[in-house]
Amino acid sequence: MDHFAIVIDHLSQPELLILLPLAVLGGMVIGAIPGLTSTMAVGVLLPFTLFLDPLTGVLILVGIGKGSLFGGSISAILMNVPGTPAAACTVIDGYPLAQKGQAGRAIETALWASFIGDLLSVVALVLLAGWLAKFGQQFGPKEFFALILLSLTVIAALSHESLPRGICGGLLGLLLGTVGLDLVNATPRFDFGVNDLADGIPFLPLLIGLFALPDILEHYMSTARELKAPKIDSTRYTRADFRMTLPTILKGSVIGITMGAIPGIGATASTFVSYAEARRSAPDREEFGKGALSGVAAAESANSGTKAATLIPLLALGVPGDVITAILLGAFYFHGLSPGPLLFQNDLPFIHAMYIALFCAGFCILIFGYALKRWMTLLSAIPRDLLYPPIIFLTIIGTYALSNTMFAVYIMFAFGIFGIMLRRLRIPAPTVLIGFVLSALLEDNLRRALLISQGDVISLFQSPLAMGLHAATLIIVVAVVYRAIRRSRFGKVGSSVAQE
Amino acid sequence: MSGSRLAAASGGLGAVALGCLLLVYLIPVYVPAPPFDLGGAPGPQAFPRIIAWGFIILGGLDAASVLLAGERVLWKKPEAIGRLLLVAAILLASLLVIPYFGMIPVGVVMMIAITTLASGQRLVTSVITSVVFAGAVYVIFDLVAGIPIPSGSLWE
Repeated sequence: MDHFAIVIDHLSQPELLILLPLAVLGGMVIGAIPGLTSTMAVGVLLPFTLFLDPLTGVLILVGIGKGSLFGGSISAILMNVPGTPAAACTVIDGYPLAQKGQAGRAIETALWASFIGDLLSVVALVLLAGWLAKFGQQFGPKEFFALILLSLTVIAALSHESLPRGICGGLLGLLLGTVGLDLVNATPRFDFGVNDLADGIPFLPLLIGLFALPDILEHYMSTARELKAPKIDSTRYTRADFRMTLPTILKGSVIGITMGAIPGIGATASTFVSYAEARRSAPDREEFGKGALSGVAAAESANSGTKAATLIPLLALGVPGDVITAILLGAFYFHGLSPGPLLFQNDLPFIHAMYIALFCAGFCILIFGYALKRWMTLLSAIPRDLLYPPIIFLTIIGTYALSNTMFAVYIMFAFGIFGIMLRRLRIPAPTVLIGFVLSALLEDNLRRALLISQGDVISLFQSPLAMGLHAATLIIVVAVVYRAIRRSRFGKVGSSVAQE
Repeated sequence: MSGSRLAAASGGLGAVALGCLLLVYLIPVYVPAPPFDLGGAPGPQAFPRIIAWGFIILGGLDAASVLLAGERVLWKKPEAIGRLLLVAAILLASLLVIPYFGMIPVGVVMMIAITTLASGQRLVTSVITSVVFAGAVYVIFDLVAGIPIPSGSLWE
């Protein structure tokens, strides 16, 4: 079968045609409900995708992530509550617009900005991932070790409160990744005589335990009132609005793509950079914060611009740039696929089918957004007290389905408690996940490189590529440490009370 | 303002303690060194040792910076912790009886218990949503998709 026929064969799977639009829609609903996160949704649904064809399984997870980015803007605009962290910036102008009776216009602006940002992001993925993968073909163990070390700097971006504490989270992840048989010498490590741990700590129970259960359990500690279902007005996003906001959308998309392609920055930061740039260059900058349409467009185009861009380092080099791509990396492994240069070499039709499906998912957002925005505003006010028990039920079934044993379910529960403890200790859970995902790759490549050089540590730096990657790591580490010192010197004057 | 400084530093202090525990007990006992020569390459203990030292250095840095800055942590109200413990206990009890009674019956009881006891929702609402959801899950996953659901040893 020729290349084109294989791509068509991948794309014509009935389950993909049905489930991808449903995943996008589901992601939009999840994003619109404050308290349900895309990380939680992807974690809970990941076990069920393992029963599907690899392309469908991976794309469902991507579709949920994409949909949730737009969905988050609905509650941000209507209720002043960002449905996702990336929608935090949309609140600034979206909610004032809703208060002026222009909620419909604001949501449609967010919809078009998300659609264009997402489309351009997929174009960037198509243009850059293949090129980066070719570059990655020159990598040996020491270059991969340097690359993974560079990707671990993601942890710095995820350590909002304290850099040392964030790195401790990453170290915890690296340590958890060493459990089980050592890949080089086949020595058992930290299995405590438990046979089920010989293959290491299972990824999915850890993921669900760390990301879904703590959110749910913490909900029962809060006494926050449920939100009332808001109403949406009939104002529209006109052609004149489109012409006015297009330059901002294009600029926001480029900012989102650039920041999304760099591991560790993520959607939330890019929205604020894009918003600041839109405000700086706007003739009516005093309108920003009071209900500027360009403010909504800047935030939404940037956060959607990051989505496919985060897949560039993942697909081309196998390096996750944020929590969702770290989960996706796990999903690829479960389906027997290794993202990186070899995937481009061995399964190019899979990659091309994925590109086409990603374009289609973008159109799904536009169609569903227009057709169902009124229904989604109603869904956004479903009481979480009724939503969370079924989600717990699904997490148990999903975890059990993975291995047909209750052991995985007990591991999930243990990591749920561990996740709560991490929150009490103010250690960010995403740093643990990143460390866990990269642990085996980091250690394996380091030990292979040293085995080849017979223990000569200097050899790790004796290649131009490795040198360049180590230099980039060093620059990022110096910048992060400098920023942390500045923040602690100027930002925290006197004693502060860390309210939980 | 009330609050605990020690609790604020507990993340860093915990990391230091874990690092020490790894170096002194866990690595020597649970990571055996291979009996053959590794040709100058690091053995299976090397990576965990690097991690352990990382815990000690960075945990110490964090604890020191928190204590010097005088950060404090406010405790949660007892009733909030009580609700959390209640949900965790319901969940744990459910996991322990699932192998005997099966996922679907236990899941229904678990959902009703959490919705009524921890959230204070009406019993009728929680019974209807729990039974409908569990039924839908059984039909979709077990009957249609063939995804295994724990059936319970009592019914076999």
